[in-house]
Amino acid sequence: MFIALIAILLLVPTGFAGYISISLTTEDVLINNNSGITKIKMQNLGNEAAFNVVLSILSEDFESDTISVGTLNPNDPKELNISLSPKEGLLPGSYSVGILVQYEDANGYRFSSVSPNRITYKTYTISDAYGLIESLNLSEKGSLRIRIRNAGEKEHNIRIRLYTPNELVASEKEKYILIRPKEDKEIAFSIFNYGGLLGSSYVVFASLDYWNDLHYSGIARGMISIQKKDYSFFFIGLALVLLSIFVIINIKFKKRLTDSQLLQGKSKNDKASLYD
Amino acid sequence: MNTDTKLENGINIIVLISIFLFLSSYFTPDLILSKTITTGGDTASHYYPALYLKEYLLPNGKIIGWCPGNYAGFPIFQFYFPLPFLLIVFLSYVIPLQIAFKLITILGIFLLPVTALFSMKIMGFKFPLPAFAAIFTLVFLFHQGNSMWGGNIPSTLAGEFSFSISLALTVLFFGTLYKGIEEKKYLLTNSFLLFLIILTHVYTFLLICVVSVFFLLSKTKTKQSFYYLFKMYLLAFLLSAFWSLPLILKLPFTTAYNFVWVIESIKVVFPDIFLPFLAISILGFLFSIKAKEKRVWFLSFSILGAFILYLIASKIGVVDIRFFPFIQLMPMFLAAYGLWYLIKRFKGKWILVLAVLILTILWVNHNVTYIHDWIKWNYEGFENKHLWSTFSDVNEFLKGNASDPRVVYEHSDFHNSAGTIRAFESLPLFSGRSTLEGLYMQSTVSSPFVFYIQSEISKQISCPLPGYSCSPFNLARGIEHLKMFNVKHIIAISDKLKQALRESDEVTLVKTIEPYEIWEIRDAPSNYVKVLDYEPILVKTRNWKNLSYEWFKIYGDDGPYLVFENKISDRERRLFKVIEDKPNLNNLQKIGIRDNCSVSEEFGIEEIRIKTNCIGKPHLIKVSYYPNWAVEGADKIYLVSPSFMLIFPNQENVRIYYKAVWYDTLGNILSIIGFLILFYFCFRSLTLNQKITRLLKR
Repeated sequence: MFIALIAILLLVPTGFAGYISISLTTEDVLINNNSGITKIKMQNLGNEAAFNVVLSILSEDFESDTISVGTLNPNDPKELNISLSPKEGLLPGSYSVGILVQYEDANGYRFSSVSPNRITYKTYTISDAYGLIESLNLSEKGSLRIRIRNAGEKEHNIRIRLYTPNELVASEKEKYILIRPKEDKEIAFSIFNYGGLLGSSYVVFASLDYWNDLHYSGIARGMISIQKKDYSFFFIGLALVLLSIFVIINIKFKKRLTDSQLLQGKSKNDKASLYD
Repeated sequence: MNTDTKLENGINIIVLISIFLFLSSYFTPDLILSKTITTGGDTASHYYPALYLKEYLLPNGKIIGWCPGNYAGFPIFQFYFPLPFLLIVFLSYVIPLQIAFKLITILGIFLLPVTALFSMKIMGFKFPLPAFAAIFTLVFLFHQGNSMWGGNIPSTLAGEFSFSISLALTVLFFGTLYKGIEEKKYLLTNSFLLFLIILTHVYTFLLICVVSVFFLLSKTKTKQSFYYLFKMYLLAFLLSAFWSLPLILKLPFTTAYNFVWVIESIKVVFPDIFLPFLAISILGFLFSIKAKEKRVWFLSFSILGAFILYLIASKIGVVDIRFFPFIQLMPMFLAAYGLWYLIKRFKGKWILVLAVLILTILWVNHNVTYIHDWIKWNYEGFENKHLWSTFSDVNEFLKGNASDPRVVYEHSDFHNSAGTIRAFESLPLFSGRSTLEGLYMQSTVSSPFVFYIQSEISKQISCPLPGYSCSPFNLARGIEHLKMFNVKHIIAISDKLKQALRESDEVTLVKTIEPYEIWEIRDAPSNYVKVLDYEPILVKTRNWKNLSYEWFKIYGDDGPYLVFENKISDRERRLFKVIEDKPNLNNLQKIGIRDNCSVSEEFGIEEIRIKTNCIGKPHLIKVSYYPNWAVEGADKIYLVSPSFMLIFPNQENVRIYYKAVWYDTLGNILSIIGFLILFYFCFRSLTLNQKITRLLKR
């Protein structure tokens, strides 16, 4: 074998380019007594493992334990049961809770995600409140808009409670809005990016609750994408201005450089900076 | 200097400053100027060699030497490029080594636009082509098509900063070479540049060799060009001979790595970021045909040359995809020409340059996703990783020096949390102890065995060497091999290995630092020198590597060991009790050696002193074989399986030491001659210039 001058090292870089995508499948939970079980199926749809996975329930209305799942390898689903206990004095009806998943990637960076889950406590109710969260491109801070519709026949004072992953923080966790029958209203939350990764998208949702003798809850879902601060419009504008000036100059002074002018330029530019 | 030239120079400066500021918005001063040890990919493992060069090699008057820290010892900087590390060390006399290291790792990135501009200017391209060339290098630098091929920022972050510097120098060299051959000048400059390129990477040097053929294709100037190239290559070789001559002659003591990369689609080669510029580059090439622009043909020829090298790479023992960066970068210069050609007759071109600068930066920025995160990951350093305190504690517990037995660690992605999967390759840096794996796996003949051991004791393996199969998990065999390599401690991370260690009665858990467990091999020899248990078997062969690898799969520390020789002398026939041409590995002859030997050792970096009462008996030295090792107190050093040294002492006190061999000395002499030639002609031309200047003044 002809071994040339080389054979010298190829470094085999080990920087990763994988991704983690945790999918949760849940069943709606019915609690008739003091506690119930929510069954959760977790699966990592990415191509690298998620480490130190921890599951917890976000709710002001129910108590539950935090579950440590450990490592979630790609395509290795796990099934978990989380028990939920209603707090004292809870009204019967439908509720929305958040399932918070926290994990680390191979680099030790921490990530989190939230998913909604519906719980029926003693009595199933259907909510008149429906909502939609407008997708938001976020760099450092932004305004998350939620459009809510009251499809019922009565006016409702709706509590909007926002659920976000740990990387995104809302200035207020909940707001109230009064919506007349068949009316739409929009409400906004200020959102701050506290560690969301550039290029990542995060699911957020809001529970839309109102109550009288029974509790009613709807869910609005949306997505927040983390993007760089965008000064591009300014610079695109600047570039267009410059291009315009260039075009105007050449239209105004229609005479182009002749060959001789080009050649003259050659001798002036032809100054080498290195000498023997 | 007239107004136009001042304006053009001013715009060029604005372009370079803007590019510098844009690059600095990614490589922010708070990261680059922080006194932390860089992590990320292979980069982290380059830091220790820089420190080693500063603290051991240079104070001992050498650039190339022996490093016991990895692979049972290897010749550091013989088979990797010393120039960037010399720059790091020289800079570290002014600023902390950690910061010097960071600055040199990004030097190539910041240098490429500068050398592109000056290269085009030197070739005689008119404004604003050189500015366009500088701007369009950003497209190449920021493309995220791969992180292993070299030249772009992801590759540089992954550890290929030496190639990055070499590429920038090569771009400059193309300009000076073209000008030099056309106008019969710059011979010394080109020779010196080529010398710098040789000392920064060999793939760039290979491309230059092929591209030089362009000048031999001329109908009229072939002979002149040939003489010019001959003198240039000769002087560059002389200058670099202290490194390149021994490198060539010691290639048999390396491990080949000719990996063939499968490219699945053209998009991998030219991701979207390139597309607008590729279109202009095609136009540029067509314009060059119309204009008979030889300079552009020269640049285009380099693309062809790189492609030819890609095709023949595996046949010449190199990695094919390492030539693709040239195929990606050179079209950017063709695009610069294409754009220049389109606007050459227009006025106010400087305004267009600024617009192109802004639009290119916006385009590049729009196409970047993970580079920011990678830069932060690398340059925040080991010390800011969430596993740092655990990693430090493990190293602190194992603290020692090179004379202590080695430490092995289980290969795992988990170590990435400490900064890089390769974090424990830096055990010599953080703990002082030697380990097995390392970065420069081609630099030694021991690397196949090291990775075989890795596969025996790791749940997740890398098995990186083509042509060398690895083992399924087998802790028992692995422990035998660890004893062979004088390893005493095992760092375990996976449940699989931990469970296997618990079930083994050959090891003891000595420390738990969650999630790591450190285990000690109970009856590990703890010596680098031992008398063999069985008579070694002398094998006459030229192809010892494969035989030794197959032997290693079967045998452990007890042996019997194989000794490899090309020719067997009469003395060796008397010395070795067993001699075979084709040993049956499944049934090697075992002749026991008396075991009441007393052997003591003083193990230094480049010296091992042995005191033994078993004169005439085979002593195994568990250090990688290399021709620079010499011996006093024995006739010769033999190459013994797996890749170690064997001696037969003829006296009680034996000294094995690392010294220059004849071609090291010859290389040094040639380099001195080269530098003398360089200085002489530099001095002569300066003196001549002074005389001419005086004449003109009269």
